[in-house]
Amino acid sequence: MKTPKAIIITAVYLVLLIVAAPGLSFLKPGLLRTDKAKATYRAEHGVLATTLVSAAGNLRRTQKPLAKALGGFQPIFRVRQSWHLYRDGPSTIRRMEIRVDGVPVYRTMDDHLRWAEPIFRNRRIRPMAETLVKKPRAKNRAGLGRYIVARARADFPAAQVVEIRSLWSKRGGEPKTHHRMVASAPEWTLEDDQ
Amino acid sequence: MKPVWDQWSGYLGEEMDPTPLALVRIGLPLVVIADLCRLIQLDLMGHVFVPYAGGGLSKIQDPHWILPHIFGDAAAMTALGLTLLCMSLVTVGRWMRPAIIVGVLAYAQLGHLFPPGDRAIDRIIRCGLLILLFSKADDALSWKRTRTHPIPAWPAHLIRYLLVLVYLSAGLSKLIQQPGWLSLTADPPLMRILIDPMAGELDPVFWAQFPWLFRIGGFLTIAFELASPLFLTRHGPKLAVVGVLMHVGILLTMTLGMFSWGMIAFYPLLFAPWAARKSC
Repeated sequence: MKTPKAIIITAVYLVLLIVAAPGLSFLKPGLLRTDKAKATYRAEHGVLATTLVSAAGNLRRTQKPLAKALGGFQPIFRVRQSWHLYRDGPSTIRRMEIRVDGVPVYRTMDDHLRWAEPIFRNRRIRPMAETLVKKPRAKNRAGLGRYIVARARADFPAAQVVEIRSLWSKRGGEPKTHHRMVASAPEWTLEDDQ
Repeated sequence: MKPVWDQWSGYLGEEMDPTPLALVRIGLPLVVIADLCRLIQLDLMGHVFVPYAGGGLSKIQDPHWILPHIFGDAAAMTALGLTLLCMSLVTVGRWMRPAIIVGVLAYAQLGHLFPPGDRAIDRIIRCGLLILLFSKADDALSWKRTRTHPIPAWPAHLIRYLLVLVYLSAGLSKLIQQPGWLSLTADPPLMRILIDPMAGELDPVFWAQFPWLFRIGGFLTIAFELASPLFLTRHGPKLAVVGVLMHVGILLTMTLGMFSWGMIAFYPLLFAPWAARKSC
């Protein structure tokens, strides 16, 4: 391979390594920056651990500004190199439940309540439903809630009340309503009930 | 230093059979097309790819959502149409390079319009396509021609390297953020992931009786992800078998849509050394 081409490809490898840098993104740039912090850490974890963690901190402090400068192209193609895939799941079992006039029509992973299930399980909608049940003040709850109400009104024309509940439980325990949103005829304005 | 550079340069100058890259060129856009067609089938287009003010689902739009400045109200449908058209062209190997550039930009615009639905797999696919842009992946299994001569292998090496970064980051982030992945006593994180009703398919009460099963699965997941640098060696294809099994497992136990399909679409490159050896 010709040298200029090899240099360019090598640069691409380096850029990817710097902007992605496996594991480094979790380290705070201020990690063991001062002598005082190092001394405290050394007293607790020993010299070897301090040397290693301090080196990792220095690496992070070098990598972060470089990654910011080199990664400027990423938003255009929406290819941000940050790969934190499926680190952990919740210890609380959460489900979304939808009731029309008090009657449950959908509950996450309930074989008997499957109204509009393919929509709520679709990979683009599922994260929104997940956030809605997790956070009472989820920013996107209004959009998803509005969609659910409109769809319920279309599928159940006589409906007077549509309710979206977030059910929380411990494994094997009884689910309890953690927060909910309600819309009623004739205004059909979604209101939080937390 | 020079011998190292010569060796590296020789590695970058290697050639390969075009078929594995062509299979990735076919697979990645097909996954995107299938995913978008599923949205159309569910009648979600008018809700997902519409700003909140226009009745859409997401209140959040990325500032890089710029197509409305050019196409006005037709921006979303233009991005969607361009994505579908360009992905189709890439799949059949027609006008591959312009189709990749326009297709990836349009696909990214859809992501900017609806960020909650634009996941890691979308980014991995766009990265893969951008690397294919510099390849001769359209030299085989293509509308325009089918050649059997070798093509430069460096784009395939670079995609393998990208996959190593992806898996290694995933493995390290698991360990750094949740040491329970290696614990013999703690609640297995893999179990919490798979029995979470919002993302998993497994019954939380029934499967919680078998934590050891998830503990073993968790150890294997970590081992696979941390071993991913082996993709760059002759042991890569053996590790790829484990990777396929892992992604099939994810496909069966989680509702992540195209995630597993998208990752598996890269795997012809990981199996390429086996194919090359057979052809020798």
